[in-house]
Amino acid sequence: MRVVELPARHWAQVRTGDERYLCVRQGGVLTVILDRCKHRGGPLSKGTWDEKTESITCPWHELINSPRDLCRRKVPSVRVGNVLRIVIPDEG
Amino acid sequence: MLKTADLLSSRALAPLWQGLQASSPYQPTQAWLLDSPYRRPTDLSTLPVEALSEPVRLGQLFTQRSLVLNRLLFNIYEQNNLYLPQARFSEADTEAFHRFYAPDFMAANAFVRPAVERACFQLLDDELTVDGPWTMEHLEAYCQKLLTDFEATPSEVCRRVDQAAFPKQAARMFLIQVAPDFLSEASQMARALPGNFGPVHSELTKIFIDEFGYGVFQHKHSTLFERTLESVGLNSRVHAYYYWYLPSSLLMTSYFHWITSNKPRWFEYVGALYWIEAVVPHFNRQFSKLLKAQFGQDTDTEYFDEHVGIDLHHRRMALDKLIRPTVQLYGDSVIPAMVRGIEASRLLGDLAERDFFAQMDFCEALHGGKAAPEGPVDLAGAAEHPKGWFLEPRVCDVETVLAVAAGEVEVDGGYLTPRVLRTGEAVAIPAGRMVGARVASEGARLLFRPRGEAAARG
Ligand code: FES
Ligand SMILES: [Fe+2]
Ligand SMILES: [Fe+2]
Repeated sequence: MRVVELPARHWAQVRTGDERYLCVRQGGVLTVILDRCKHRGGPLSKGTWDEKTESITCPWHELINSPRDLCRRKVPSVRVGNVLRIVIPDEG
Repeated sequence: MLKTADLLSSRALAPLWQGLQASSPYQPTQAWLLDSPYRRPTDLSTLPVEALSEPVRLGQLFTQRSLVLNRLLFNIYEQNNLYLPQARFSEADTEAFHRFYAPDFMAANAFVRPAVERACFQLLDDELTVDGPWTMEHLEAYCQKLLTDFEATPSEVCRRVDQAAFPKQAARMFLIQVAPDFLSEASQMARALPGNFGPVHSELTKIFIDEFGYGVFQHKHSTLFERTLESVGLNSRVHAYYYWYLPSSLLMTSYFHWITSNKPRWFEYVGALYWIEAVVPHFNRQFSKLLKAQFGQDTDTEYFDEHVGIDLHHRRMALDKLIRPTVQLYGDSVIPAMVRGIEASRLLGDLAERDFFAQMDFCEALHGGKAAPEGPVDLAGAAEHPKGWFLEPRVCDVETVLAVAAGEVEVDGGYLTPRVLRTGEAVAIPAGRMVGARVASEGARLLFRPRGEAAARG
């Protein structure tokens, strides 16, 4: 496992090796998800955020990833001030 | 201005043509299966360069000249596709590899290409015209109607294969007919990608990402197709069954190369792409079922199943993200080209189906021991051939008789399990059908002649 940092703000992103992570606001709390659509793994960070429903429309086939979908892709994170740290598997 | 017609009449192409006739990749082989993607037997020896100025008319599509020209055109386009061997290069591979992609060979092919394209695609111009004040509303209503009708009808291919006496062989032969396209799936789309053409460029890329499996080899559509081939007992090596590609199957594949490499045809491509994506789900659902019914529940049908889902997206993406914005930006005047693309794909699809059914009928008769010619055959002109002598699969322009005066000869029409003809046996090959033969015993004597010349008199 390793720890990676990213800025604690909505839509912040970090890329490590083959994986991308995206920070999104859910119910007023910042959380970090795997940046992959539930359908075919499209880049959610390149999709459209809906402020009202807090969901993301994927740019590839335009499926809506609801908060529940996004929740399934959460990774462990901790926010300290304006820095978020996530704990993710080692590469390879 | 360089004009193909002038080039042809100036005889400037003649030396290049002779070079192609003698070129190593186009020479015949001695076996049913091709052992490398760099061998493309294309018998240009009987075609003078003048043959290029004579278009293949609709009624001539199922002829030997059409087969040869379509093999040639397909091979020209395929020089744009990289194929590598599945294991280390053998010495023979290395040589064949360099010959197939040799710059001089490619240049000669490229030089005759416009003439071959004209010869092969003229029939589309003959058959199709789109005219009048088309708007997006018309186009949508039109597509909707075509699609509703299409989806209301069960697939005739599936019905015919299901009811065949040899359904497994028929199903395999169908897979072989789509192999020229599916083994390098979306390579034509790849040809459409270079450049910089605005937002639709990125929309097309999204479809392409799916076709190429998101960079994961196991999900690439061509990989899925290879697995289907293997799971029904076919060889998945690229173009191993090249000899059995019917002229219409080659033409269909080449059409997409043509409209993606000839850039002014972009709008036609957008229409053609829409239609191809649109019809896939309905057909693939049925064909997947058929494969499972014929070859068992464990058959790898993922290629077909995957398309049932993803092409519903592609159909929508092609309409909403390619066609609609393009019309909005450039106006209604680009719609007729799109309609032409739709109609050309439909026409080529229908022709390929007709070709396949007729070939299937012949194979069914051949393998069911029913293809004997009517009346006696005069064996006087039978010629002796050594064991292994190979009559390359070809199209018979007129009804033709293949008769064995002595020995054993294998005969096939694409069912891949040749029927063995023995002394005194003969088969009749209907006009327009493909046949190949191979001498299986030493000193066999056989006759291969138009029916009219082979009938015994008196
Ligand atoms: S990958 Fe996101 S909608 Fe298909
Ligand atoms: Fe595909
Ligand atoms: Fe597709």
